[in-house]
Amino acid sequence: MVIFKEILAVILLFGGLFFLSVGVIGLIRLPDIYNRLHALGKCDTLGTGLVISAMILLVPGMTNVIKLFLMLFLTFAINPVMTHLITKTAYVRGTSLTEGSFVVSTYYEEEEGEFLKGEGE
Amino acid sequence: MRIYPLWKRLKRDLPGSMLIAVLLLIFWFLISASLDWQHIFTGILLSISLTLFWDQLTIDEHGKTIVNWRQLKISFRYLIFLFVEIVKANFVVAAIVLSPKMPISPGLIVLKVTLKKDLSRVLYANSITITPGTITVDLEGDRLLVHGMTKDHAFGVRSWYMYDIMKDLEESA
Repeated sequence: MVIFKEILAVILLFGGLFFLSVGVIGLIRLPDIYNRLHALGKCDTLGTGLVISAMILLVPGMTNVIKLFLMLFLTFAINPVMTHLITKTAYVRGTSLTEGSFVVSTYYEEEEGEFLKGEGE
Repeated sequence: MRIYPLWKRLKRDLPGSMLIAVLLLIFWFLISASLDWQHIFTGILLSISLTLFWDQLTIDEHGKTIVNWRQLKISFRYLIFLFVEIVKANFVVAAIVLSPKMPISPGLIVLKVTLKKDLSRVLYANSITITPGTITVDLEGDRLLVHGMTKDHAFGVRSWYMYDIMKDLEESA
């Protein structure tokens, strides 16, 4: 029984390692700050989540498990907020997009059937 | 200096404040993990006084707390779909990052959200951020500025099925 638990924990750990390394590779390879945050914001959420799940299987004691569950929940809640804040700061400071990006500054409103001027560049 | 009337909260919303006190007490017992009389006494004292002093902490936006089972059910479904989308997002990003050519066509797009409550708009914006290929850059009024990693992802947000669930969730209140 213990060996199955440990095998599962190792699988989860390596899954988390995989996604965290994908995040770092994305940070190096992708062209501008917005695309880099795509890689970091998403892969870190699941990577950290998987590592914490593996730790939930391995640690003894109910109190530690509850604290780890709390950390899991907080990670999933905080990560998108931080990603959004960094992106917004970059946008407000006028960081330019990479070459070949498109900008759609209107949205289509179905009720009135016309293009409205939206917020964009 | 005026003394703040602590009992005002109890008069306004008794079931809601009792619910918050009980939730705080459960959280205290989960963290402390022991049942001596000292722990029980301190926990009850702290949770009741926190509920009384923290007047702004209400479950509903203002006023009364009403238990709504349908809303709970829909939000549970929303969380499950959100988890599936998070896992999908990671595989999408991994496929893009690890492929040798990196097929990205990034860009910004404006879309309209007609959600009424601030809370549901913020939750929807955060859901967009952790799901495949899109990040919310700015939220102002009823307009969302979204950065997409590829063109398909960016335009796909306009008709996303999570939006219908969120709309449903708001109307059930």
